[in-house]
Amino acid sequence: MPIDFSTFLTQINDALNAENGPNLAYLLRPTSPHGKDLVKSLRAPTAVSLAHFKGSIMSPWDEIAIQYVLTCTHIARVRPAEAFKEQSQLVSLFFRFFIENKGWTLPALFSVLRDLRDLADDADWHAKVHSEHSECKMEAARVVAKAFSNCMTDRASPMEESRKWGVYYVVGLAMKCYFKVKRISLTKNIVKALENTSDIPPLEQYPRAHQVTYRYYIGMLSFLNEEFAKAEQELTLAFYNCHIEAHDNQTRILAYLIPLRILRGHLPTDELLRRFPLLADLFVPFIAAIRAGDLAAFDRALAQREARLIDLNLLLTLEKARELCLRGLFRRVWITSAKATRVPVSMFHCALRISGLSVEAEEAECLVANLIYKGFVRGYISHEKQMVVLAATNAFPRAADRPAPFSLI
Amino acid sequence: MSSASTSKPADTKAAAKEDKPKESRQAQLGVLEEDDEFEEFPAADWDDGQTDLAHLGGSAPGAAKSGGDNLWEDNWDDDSIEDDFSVQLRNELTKTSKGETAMEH
Repeated sequence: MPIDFSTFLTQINDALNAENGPNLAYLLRPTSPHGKDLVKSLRAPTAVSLAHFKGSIMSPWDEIAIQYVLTCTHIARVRPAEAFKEQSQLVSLFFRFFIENKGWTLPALFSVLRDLRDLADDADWHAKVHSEHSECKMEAARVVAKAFSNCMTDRASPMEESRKWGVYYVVGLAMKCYFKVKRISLTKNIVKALENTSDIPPLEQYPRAHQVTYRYYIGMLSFLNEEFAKAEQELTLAFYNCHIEAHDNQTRILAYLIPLRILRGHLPTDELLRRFPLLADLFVPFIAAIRAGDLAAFDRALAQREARLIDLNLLLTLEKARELCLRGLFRRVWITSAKATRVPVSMFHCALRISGLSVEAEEAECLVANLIYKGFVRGYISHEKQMVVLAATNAFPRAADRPAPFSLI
Repeated sequence: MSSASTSKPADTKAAAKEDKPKESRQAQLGVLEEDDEFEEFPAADWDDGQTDLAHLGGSAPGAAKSGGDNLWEDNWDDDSIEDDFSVQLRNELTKTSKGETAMEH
């Protein structure tokens, strides 16, 4: 049965009295069925026509309920910029209540912020289609950042009921906003503020949805800043804590985790790749080339996938992974030389030429020197004799055994 | 993430030319497409059994096969690859090393 505005007010009041956060979130969601009902039954509601409802329930909920109807009205009339404006007003009224209450309000906070961001997205998209300027998503990000402070300032509630249980979700949402508008550097302040707080529970105690989203964005941020060791660590935890049915999110994590782990010397197994055909299509040729030490195949894969890798910001990472393939090629030279401890530079030079690289002998020598320096090969080069002298044992250590694999790339 | 998509409407001819590969590229990227983003989880929390931790049997996530994690391989060196490349390599190396020996004498 369609509900009218007084019933809606009563339901809000009941949810507040019961301290029922999820129910409150439901009541404030524009996509809930009562949203349309209210727009219909109130007939073209405006701030003026609804003003007489002020004072009918505890402040600021009378005004929040009015804002809710105004937001729904604009959504129904396809006026996303206005809808966003009304929702912003709703959120700032909600903040007034939120900062004086405990953690039970968090489900409602998450919900109104999510809706604000979605409406900002619609508004910016709508503006773009009409060649207009719109910065709603940036504005939404600022509001979300404000929510972070509002969670952090809870000094009164006991920890188990604290608003601080909202911080990781909110920071995750803020990062999502900044990534979307490609203003990634703006995440730094909020991330720093979070990292500098000592009086919140450890991340592992937060709901897994919060942990995984937060770690994904921190991992991405570290990746883009070329802090590969940290990126690998965060994305590993994001992947292993992710719900296995959230297949698309797992795909997004692995798109960066796989190249990072390759650099470290860990290749994804068929068991893993079978589950992610999109990633198998992207990475299998590289992995096969590394396994076989087939430099020509690796370079072909790079050329064929260049556009996709550029779009994903992964081209440089895969170019770095080429060294593992080079290691494989040089290892094959060593195997073919019956694992001799002395292998002429000319042999490595020859292997490069067979792989389709027309390089000078000097460059071959340089490539060997580089692999020795980076710990892929154990030995030294006698430049006068043009001879590579390899360690008698473990001349080609496993790539995964290098002590600091990310520090020399 | 990248700013590659900032399209300049100035040169429509060039834009039209670029359109095609871009299209197929986006199709290939699927959920990794630029405008696609990390999704909200339907539930807030879940236990180990619903994650990839479940298959680890207690080993550290990402430890690789030698550490008990079957999703990653840290020991892939194969001493017995036999393919065209190996044959070619061996032939060339034999030639090269003969050359070296000849020169030494």
